[in-house]
Amino acid sequence: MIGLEHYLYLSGVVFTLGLCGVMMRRNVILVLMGVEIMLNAANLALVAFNKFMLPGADGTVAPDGQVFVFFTIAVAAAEVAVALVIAVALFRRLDTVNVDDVANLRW
Amino acid sequence: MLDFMFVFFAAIALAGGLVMAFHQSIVHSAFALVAVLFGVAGLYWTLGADLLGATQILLYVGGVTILLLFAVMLSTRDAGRLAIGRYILMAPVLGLLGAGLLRVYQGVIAISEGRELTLLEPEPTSDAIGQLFVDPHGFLLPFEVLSVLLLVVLVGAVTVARQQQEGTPDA
Amino acid sequence: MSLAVLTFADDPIFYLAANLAKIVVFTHIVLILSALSVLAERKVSAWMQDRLGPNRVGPGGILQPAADALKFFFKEDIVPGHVDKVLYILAPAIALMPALIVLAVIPYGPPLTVLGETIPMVIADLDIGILFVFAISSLGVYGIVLAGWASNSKYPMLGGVRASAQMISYEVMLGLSVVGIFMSTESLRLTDVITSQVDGTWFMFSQPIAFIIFVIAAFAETNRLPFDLPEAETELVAGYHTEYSSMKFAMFFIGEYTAMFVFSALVAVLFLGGWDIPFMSNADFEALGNWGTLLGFLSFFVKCLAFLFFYIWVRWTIPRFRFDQLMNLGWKVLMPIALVNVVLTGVVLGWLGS
Repeated sequence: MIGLEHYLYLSGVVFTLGLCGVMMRRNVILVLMGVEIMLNAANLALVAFNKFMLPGADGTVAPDGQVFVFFTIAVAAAEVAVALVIAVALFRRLDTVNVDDVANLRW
Repeated sequence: MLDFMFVFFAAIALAGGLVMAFHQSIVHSAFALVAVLFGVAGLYWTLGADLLGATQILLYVGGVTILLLFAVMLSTRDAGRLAIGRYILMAPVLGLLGAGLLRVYQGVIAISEGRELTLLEPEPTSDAIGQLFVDPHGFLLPFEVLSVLLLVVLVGAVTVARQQQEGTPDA
Repeated sequence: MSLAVLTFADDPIFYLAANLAKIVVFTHIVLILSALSVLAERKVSAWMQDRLGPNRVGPGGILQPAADALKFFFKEDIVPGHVDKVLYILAPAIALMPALIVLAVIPYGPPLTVLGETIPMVIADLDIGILFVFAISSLGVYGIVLAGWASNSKYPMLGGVRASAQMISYEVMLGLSVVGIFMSTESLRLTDVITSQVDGTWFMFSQPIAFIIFVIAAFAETNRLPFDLPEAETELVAGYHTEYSSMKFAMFFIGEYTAMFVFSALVAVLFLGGWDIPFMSNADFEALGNWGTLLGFLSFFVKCLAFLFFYIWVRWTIPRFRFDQLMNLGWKVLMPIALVNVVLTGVVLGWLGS
């Protein structure tokens, strides 16, 4: 049967894949995708904890963990909006989206 | 049935994650990201979080990823080379971290007392979540702070984009 | 009704059979109606332009869609050499799927009673019905974006970029416009929305601002004139499906018309009272039993078809918007109005409640 451990291991593996994406990819948009995957892995762990660790006396579950995830999703959407504006501005000004090429702090 | 659903959605999420991290085409990666997000939404449903799963698809798959694709179309189709070589030395450190995490997991799993998935038809959660959002003893303050954050982000994004247009007429 | 709603636990075999029957029947009704709406489009446009329209196949041209489908099957399926194969083949399927999935949560009529069991006339009556509809229908844009990208040529690419910008913008209005409705029904479940309208007024009259915004956004979401910029023939050849032929092209076509039907059904459910017939209450429908179901069913489809006709009527009447006009209309006009509508509804509800 499926228990907490399955969700946790899955979340760990997905997190690692996202981390691989963030560290190995050099295109800034792909790095962003990696960050999104890592956030999702963490969200999955939160919902799983909510389900398996927090049942009340009558077996019903208060959805506190799910509310956390709503906040994460909203903040992640905001983060992506800003990051993409920066990425497009970067491409227009420097003609590159490779994170290794953008090492200077000012022009 | 729930076991099958878990395996199904987990497989989608894992395959998507692999493709996303290693595929050479940036649009294929973006599409694999959609697969991961969809898989995670399905896993939320297996956990009885129906509202959360729908929100995940609505916001992440329908909004964030489309924005990412939009940025790809406005910039370049060059995904860049995978930078694997420079991280090989870090492998032992990462292995140690992973082992530590596994130890933590085992501790946590022990606390969960072997609870299992049972619900086939999940209880509606939208009512309870809505109550928590507007409950002064729940999440009312973070909720309001979040709305301020979204406003700041909106103004900030417009400002950066507009400076770009005025600052460099050739862009 | 006094009888409990049928669940899996009561009688698994009957439950599965009933659900399978619902899926098969409703999907076929909708797909056949979509095919016929292609014919209706040609007939109505001919009528508006004082022509005859297709009239050779079958009586009055009624079999024209079948002839078209046959022709599509026998056309050569060309895959251009410069395309991204995987995404190119996937894109038409992704364009069609969301519209078909959404059919699962639309309530087509009042519950039916068979062999003493009550069967709701909706395949899956979700607690989060409308959120599910918006979530799934927002996937439709992927078909267009991927088609535009995978075709690897300039007109589809421009169509894809336009589609993503347009659909993201108008999804916001679509979601915001219906918030008022759910504030007054206090439920996201589509059957609850209908039953509250059967006993009360239609939301078309109590939420007129939301109705207008929703209709405009529905036109933009289905890429219909006056918002058909992603496939504007005079500017982009055929937009995202320039490089598609044979059955793949037909799948985009079916997807578009099924999406039109889905949005017509949504307008009927949210604003026109769903299966409601004026001057009938929920009790009247229950008293009529299965005849009430049949009446409601017919009433629902009449409303859908009327709105489909409206879709076609508008297409042959209004010219296309320019892209900057489209964005200005969305963000600077509709969005503030929709927000004001939400606040207004809240104030009125609070005032009535206190």
